[in-house]
Amino acid sequence: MLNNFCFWFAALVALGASVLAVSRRNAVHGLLWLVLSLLAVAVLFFMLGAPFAAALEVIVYAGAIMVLFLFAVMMLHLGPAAQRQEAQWLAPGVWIAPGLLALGLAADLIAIARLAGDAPAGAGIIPPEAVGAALFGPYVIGVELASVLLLAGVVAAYHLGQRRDRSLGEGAGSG
Amino acid sequence: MSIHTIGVIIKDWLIGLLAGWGVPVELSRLLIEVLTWAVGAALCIIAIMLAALVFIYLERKVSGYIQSRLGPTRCGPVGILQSFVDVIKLLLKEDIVPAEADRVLHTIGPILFLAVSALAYVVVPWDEGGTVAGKVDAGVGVLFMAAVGSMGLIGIVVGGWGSNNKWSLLGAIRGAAQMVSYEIPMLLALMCVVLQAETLSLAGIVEDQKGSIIAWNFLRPWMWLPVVLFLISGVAEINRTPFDIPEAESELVSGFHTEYTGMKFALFFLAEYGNLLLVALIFSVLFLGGWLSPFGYPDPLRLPGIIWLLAKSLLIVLIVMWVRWTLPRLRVDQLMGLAWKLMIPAGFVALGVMCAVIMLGWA
Amino acid sequence: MNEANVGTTDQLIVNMGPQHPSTHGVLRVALTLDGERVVSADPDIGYLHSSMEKIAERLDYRQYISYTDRFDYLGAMCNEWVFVRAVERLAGIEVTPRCEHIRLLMAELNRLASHLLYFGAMGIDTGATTVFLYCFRERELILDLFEWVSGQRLLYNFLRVGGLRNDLPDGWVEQCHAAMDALASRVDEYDTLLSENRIFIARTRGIGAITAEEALAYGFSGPCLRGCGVPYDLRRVDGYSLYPELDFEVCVEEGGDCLSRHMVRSRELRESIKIVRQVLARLPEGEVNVPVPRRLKVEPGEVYERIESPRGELGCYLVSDGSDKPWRMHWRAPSFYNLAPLDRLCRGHWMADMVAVIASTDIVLGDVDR
Repeated sequence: MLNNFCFWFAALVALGASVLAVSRRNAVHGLLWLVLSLLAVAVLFFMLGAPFAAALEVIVYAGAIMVLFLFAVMMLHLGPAAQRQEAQWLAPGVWIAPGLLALGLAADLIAIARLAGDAPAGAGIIPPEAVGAALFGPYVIGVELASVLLLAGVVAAYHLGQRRDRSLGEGAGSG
Repeated sequence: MSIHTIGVIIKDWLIGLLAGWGVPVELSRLLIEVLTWAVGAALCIIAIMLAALVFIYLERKVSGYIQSRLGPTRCGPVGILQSFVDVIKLLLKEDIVPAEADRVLHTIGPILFLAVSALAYVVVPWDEGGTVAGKVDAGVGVLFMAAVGSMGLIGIVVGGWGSNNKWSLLGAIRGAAQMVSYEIPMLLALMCVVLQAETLSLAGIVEDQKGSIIAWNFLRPWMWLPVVLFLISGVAEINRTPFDIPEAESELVSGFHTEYTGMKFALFFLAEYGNLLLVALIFSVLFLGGWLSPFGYPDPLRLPGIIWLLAKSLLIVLIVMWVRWTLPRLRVDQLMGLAWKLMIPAGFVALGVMCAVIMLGWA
Repeated sequence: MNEANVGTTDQLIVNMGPQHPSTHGVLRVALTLDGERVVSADPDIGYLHSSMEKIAERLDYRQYISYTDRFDYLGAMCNEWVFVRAVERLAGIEVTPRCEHIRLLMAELNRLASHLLYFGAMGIDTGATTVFLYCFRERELILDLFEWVSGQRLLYNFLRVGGLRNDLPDGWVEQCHAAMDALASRVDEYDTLLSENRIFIARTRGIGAITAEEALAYGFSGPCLRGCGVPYDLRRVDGYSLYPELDFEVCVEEGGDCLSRHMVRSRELRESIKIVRQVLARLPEGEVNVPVPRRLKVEPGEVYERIESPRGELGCYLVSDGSDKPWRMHWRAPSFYNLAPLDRLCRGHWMADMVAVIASTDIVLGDVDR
C-alpha cells in the first residue's frame, strides 16, 4: 500500500514537473523543474526494483548534466528580453497541434496497456551485481560502442576547448 | 545494547500497544514504518544541528589555539554557549531578500542545500544494524550517498543565481565546477573500497573491516592512495580551505551566500557543518572501521559503536580544521587542474592497483 | 560573429569595491571579466580624498605635522619625518645627533610595522588567515613601543620641526631590544608558513609580472621596484640621514612578479631589524630638541625632500612665500604610482590573481587619494 502510494505520488510529481519544465518562461526555473522530474523518475526506478538505475539517474542526470545545463544558462545572463521571447514561443498556435498529437499517443498507450492486461511492474529487486553481469556479459559490445562514442565526445570537447583558449590568448598577455 | 536492538524492542512494544487498541497488525506495521522514517529523518536533522553547534564552537576554539588567541570566552564557561548565542542572533536578524533577486529561488537555495545534506545521513551506519535507511543502504548505500552528495550543488547554484548578485553568481559557478570535478576522484576512491569489501553497502563495508585496528582499510597499503584522494576530494566537496573558492572571502566577498542574512544564512552554515561531519563519518566508515572498536570485535570495552564512530570522525574534523587554518587558498584553475590532471589519473591508478590486488588474491 | 568569437561567452562587468574585503580600504575597480579572466581592471580612486595638500596652505608648519600622519596611516613616522626634513631644510635648522638617531629608529620601526601588516594582508588575501594574526601579534610589540614613546598607536604626531615631542622614556631601549629579539625569531616562521608554502608560491610566481623598464616608466618605487631587479633604495641612493653609516643590504629580487615583491619585503623585515639594532647600539646621549622660534617663518623658496617610506619613494614638495604657512605643498605618494599599472599587471590573469596583485603592491588608499 505504502509502495503503491509512493509510486503514484512520484509519477504525478514527474508528470507535473515535466509539464512545468516545458512551460516555464524563465530558463532556470524550467531547468529546476526538469531536475525535479528526473528525481521523481529516479524514485520510480527505485520503486520498480532498480536501485542501481535510480542512483545513476540522480548522479548522472540530476547531479551532473543538469548542473552543467544550469551552469551554462546562468552564464548567459538571460533577462526580461529572453523571457518575452520564450513567451512568444509558447503561443497557443505553436503548442496546440503537437499537444493534440501527444494526447492521441497517450490515448493509444493507455489503450494498449489495457488490452495487454495487468503486467508485473518489476521482476523483484535487481541488484547492481546483476546489472554489471548483464552489461559485461551479453551486452558487452554495446558497452564498448558507448565508450567509443564517449571517447569521440571527449576528443570533440578537447578540440572546442583548445580553440577557445587561442581566441582568449591573443589579448590575454601572459595568462 | 546496540541501537538496533533498542529499535526492535520499541517497535515490538508499539505493535503490541496498537494491537491492544484494536488496530489491525498490517496497518500498525505500516504506521510504525512511517513513524520510523519520520524519527530517522528528525534524527538526521538533529545530528546536523548538533554538529553545527559543536563544530562552530570547536572551530573557533581550534582556530584560536592555532592563531595564538583565546577564541570565544564570554558566553558561559570558556565560551561554551557561544554557538547558542549565535543561533539566537541569527534567528532574530532581519531576513533581507535583495530587491531584484528571484524571491523563490533565493529562499529555496539554502533549504535545498540543507535538505540534501540531511538526506545523506540516512545511510550512515551509526552502529551495528544502526542505519536509518537500512534497506536502501543494503542495496546501493554508496551510490545513494554519491547521488545525494551530487545534489547539494543545486542548492548552491540556485541560491547563488537567485541572489542576482554577480559575486554570488561567480561563487555559484565556481561551486558547480568544483563540486562536479571533485566528485570523480571521490567516487574512484570509493570504488576501491567497494572492490575491497565487495559490497555497495556502507554497513557492509564496516562489516568487512571487522576485527581489531589491523583489519581496518587504512592499514592496507593499496588503500593509502584512496585514503589521500578521498580526504582531499572530501575537503574540496565541502568547500573548505584550501578549496574554499566558491565562497573565497577575499575574492568573492562571500561567494554564493553574499546576499544571505539571518536564518537563510544559518541554513547554509548548518549544512556546511553538516557536510563536514558527513565527510568525516564517511571517511571513518570507509577507512577507519566505522563503529568498530580498535581493540577487536566484539569490543572488549563494551562501548556503544556510535561513540567509536564519533571519536574517529572528530579526529578527521580536527585534521580538516587544522588544514583550514594553515594553508592558503588555491586559485580556481589550479583547483581544477589538481582535480583533472592529478587526482583523477591517480584515482584510476588506485583503482587499477586495487584490481591487481584482487586478481592476485591478496585482498 | 567572426570565427574567433565562436564558443565565447559574454563579458561580465563587476564592481570590485569600494566595499570589498580585499581592496585595502576603499579602492573601487571596475573589472571586466571573461569567465574568471580579467579583461580589464580600471581602478577608480578618490574615495578617501581629503585635500591634504590644500589644508597645508592654511596651517602653520608645525600644525600640519598631525595631518601628515593621516594619509599613509601605516607609515606615519615616515610621513612626519619627510615633512619636518623639508621644513628644516627650508628654514636651515640642524637637529641634534640623538634626535636624528631616534627619528631614523622610528622610521625603521614603522617600516617593520607596515611590512608586518603587509605580510598579514597578503596572507589573508590568498586565504591564509593564520599568518595575519601572527603578524598582528608581532606588530603589537612595535605599536606598544610607539604608544609608550608618543602616546599613540597609529597617528603619532611625534616629530617636531627641530626635534621631537619628547625624548625616549626610561627602559624604552631595553624594551625595543626585546621586541627585536622576539621579532627576529618569528620572521622565519612567517616564511615557513607563507612564503615557502607551495600553494602560496603557485599563487604568486609569475603573477602580475612587470619588467624593470616598464616599472620605471610607471614610476614604481620601493619594494615594488626592487622586486623588478632595480636596486633603487633611497636609503642608499640618496644616503640621507645616518643611513650611509649603517650596515644593511638593499634587497633586490629579479622576477618582477608578486612573489618577488613579497620576498623583497620579507628580506627587508630582517634588514630593518638589523638597522634598528645598530641604531640602538650607537644611540648618543644629549638633547633632542634645538631651539626653534615660536612663530616659524622660512625664507621664500622651494624644496623637494624625499625618503624611502615602507611603500617607496615618499616625496614632499614645499614652496614657501616667506610666511609661516606653506604657499603650496605636494606629496609624491608612492601608493599612487604603485597602483597606476594595475590594469597592466592584472590583464589576462584570473580574478583571484587580482587580489594577490593588489596585496603585493601594498597600497594604502589614504596614500593614493590624500
